[in-house]
Amino acid sequence: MISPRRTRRAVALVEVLLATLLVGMTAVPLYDMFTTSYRGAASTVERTRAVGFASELAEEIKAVPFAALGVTEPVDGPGWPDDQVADHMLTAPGQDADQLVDLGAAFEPLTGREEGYQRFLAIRSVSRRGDGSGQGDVKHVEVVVRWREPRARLQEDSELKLAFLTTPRRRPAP
Amino acid sequence: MNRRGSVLVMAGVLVVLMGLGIFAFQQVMRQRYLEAYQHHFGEVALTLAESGLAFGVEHLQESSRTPGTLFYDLLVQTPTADLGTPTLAVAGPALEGLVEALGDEATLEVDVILEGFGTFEDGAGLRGVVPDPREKVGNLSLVARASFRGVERVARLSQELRVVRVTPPVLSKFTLFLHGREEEELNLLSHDPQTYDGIPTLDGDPATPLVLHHRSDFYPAVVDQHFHSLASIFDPDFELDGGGLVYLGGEQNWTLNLMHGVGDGDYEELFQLRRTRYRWATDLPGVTHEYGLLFGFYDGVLESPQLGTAAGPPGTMLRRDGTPVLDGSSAMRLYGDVNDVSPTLVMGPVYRSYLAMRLLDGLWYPWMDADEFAALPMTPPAFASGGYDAYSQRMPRVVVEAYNRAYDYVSTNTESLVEGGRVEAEGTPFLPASALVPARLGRVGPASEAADEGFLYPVIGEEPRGRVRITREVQGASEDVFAGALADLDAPLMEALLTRRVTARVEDGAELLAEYVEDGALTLQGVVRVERGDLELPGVRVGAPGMILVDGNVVIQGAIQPSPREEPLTIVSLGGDIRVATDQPVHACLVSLRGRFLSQGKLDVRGSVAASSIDLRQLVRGGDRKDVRYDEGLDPTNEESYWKAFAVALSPSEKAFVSRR
Repeated sequence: MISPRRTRRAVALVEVLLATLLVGMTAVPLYDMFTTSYRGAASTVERTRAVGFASELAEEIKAVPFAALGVTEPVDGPGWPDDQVADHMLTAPGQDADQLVDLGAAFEPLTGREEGYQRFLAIRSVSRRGDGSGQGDVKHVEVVVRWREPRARLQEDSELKLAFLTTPRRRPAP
Repeated sequence: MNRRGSVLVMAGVLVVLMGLGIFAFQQVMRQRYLEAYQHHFGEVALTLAESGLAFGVEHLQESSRTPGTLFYDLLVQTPTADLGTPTLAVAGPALEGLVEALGDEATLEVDVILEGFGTFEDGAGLRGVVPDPREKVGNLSLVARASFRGVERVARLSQELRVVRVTPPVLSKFTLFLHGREEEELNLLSHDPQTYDGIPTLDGDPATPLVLHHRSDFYPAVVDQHFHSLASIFDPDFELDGGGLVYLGGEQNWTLNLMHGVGDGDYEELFQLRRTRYRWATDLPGVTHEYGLLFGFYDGVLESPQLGTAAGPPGTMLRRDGTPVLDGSSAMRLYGDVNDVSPTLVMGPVYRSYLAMRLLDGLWYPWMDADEFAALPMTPPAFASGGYDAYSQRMPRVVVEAYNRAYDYVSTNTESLVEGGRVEAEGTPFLPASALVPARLGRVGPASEAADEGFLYPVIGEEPRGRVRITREVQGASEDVFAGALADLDAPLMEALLTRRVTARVEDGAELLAEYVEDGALTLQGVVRVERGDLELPGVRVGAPGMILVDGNVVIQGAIQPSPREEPLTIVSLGGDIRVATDQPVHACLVSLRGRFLSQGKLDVRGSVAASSIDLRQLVRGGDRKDVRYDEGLDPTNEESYWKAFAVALSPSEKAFVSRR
């Protein structure tokens, strides 16, 4: 015959085992949910930052004189910005204007947190009317930002694209 | 105390708490995650919508300059009263390419709304200037709706839009329009009587006249030395007012001495005189042949012993009214020159002056008054019976007649000898009073009901004063451009008309050049007012139709090259002078509302000139050519040119709104 004391010990042991099993069974999916949410939060930060970079680049491009965009030779003149971004508004000589041009060193990381982002630019001239007569009277610009999310499961880059048209600069309001 | 099961319970509670916590964390993170994507998609959609607005504005501005497009038809060709409140969609391959670059989940629609359009004035108090029915001012709204992966953005832009003409009303029809003159003396140029060609002089220094050219379609096919063939190619359908016109106004008469020459000199004007001899059957006793000839003026003609007074040394010949004849020829050539004959309609109190000469059996008889005739030691036999009356009709005299009579002579210079020339009454020229070639006026009227409306129109040979009507044919219908007195187009009226149409303002000339000149092209696309100071305009190329209004003086320092699309440029000084300080071609309509037109040295204006007055004494100095060639692209009565003077301008200030819907 089993003593009551042993029975109590056995029940306690079972309780602990069950509790452990319960915690264990829920902890794993909970942990997984937690890590997924955390990864999502990190992704959110990265994506928001990427959107900011793309918008910033788009605004810089819009400020560049229209004639300086997408040409194969460097241009210069009064009032044209001489910073690195402007220099890289050019397509490489001989390169198809539709190709994405890696801006590379044009964007020196301002802070360590900008590392890991790549910025690409494509500029092509299009006719407003599509009949070939416009000689590039509007310019189609694509800005692409690529990044690899930290702790990403798959080793592949994320990407976002802004596409817009730019036209010869209008007179600013007095 | 029974503690059995407490571990399990605690574990359960722990699990629940963990679950709730993590669930809450997950919800928050999920929300943030969705917001990040919303922000991403929203940014893409916003960029798309802003591109739609930018494209819409550019497309509108370019289409409004391109005949045949919907925007051009609506904004420019449709009369303001018929415009309504249209909504148009903006589309194009550029927009389609943009959407395509973003994939199937992107959409973009751009609409243009025109509303609240009216005219600049209602026509009252304009003294005959007829408001253009197609100039208009109103509001333009652009709405761009974009979406990307279900996130929508709407961008709206609202601006004032003005459709204006960039040529001054009525004035742009004139090669030269002057309200008056400063210089009392017009006939400033002296010539060497021994050589009919060469450069005239003023005060001993080389000087050349201002030569006006009015059209490009009058080419004498055969020009011989004496222009006898000019009328042989003359087109009876030729419209005298088809090119630029001339108006010389003011209280003083403009009496221009025509210049003599035999066709070798660049500035002679004998093509405006009958280069032939008139022969009469004479009733003078002892005279076999009686001829008449017309001559222009130059130094020395009046010095000839044959033409001087018989009572004394050769001297100045007197007019019929006893005033001295002014030597020399006019500082202006209204009908072009011998190498480029260019007839037109001349309006205002403008007369031409020349010498009518007579020969009796090859002898010139000098001018003399009755006393001088009576004091002759022997009465010439031909006048023994007729006396001084018969003599006075045959002695040389100055003829002064309406300048438009020049057209008669240009168009009838064919015969080498005119038989039966009549003995005309005192002061009338040899040519019959009615023109041999019908004077055809196409655009300057008025219509036949003119007499009822109190108009006197400057037909050939008549008194060149009075009110006129100018019309044009547009879209198959006749429209009035002007119906009134040209003298009423004064500075206050013109300033009010022009300043009302201003589409942009700049502080000074430097800002104008900085804002509107790029790569040498002056791209105004409207009427730009320079608020203060003078304007010194360097060499530019006309890039778009435009007008500049300057309060102060204007100095043109370099060539103004024409627009490839033949779009006009007008430069107006509201209170100062306009000076052309370059010998390069200036393609522009130049207007000085209250000041003078000035130039020195070579002058080559290819447009038109309008001014309160002109400094002829300064202008004629120097031996270079001075030409004003009318640009038929300024002609408001020509339908093709009429459309090119329109500019569509958006106001610089704009209201932009972005919403999530």
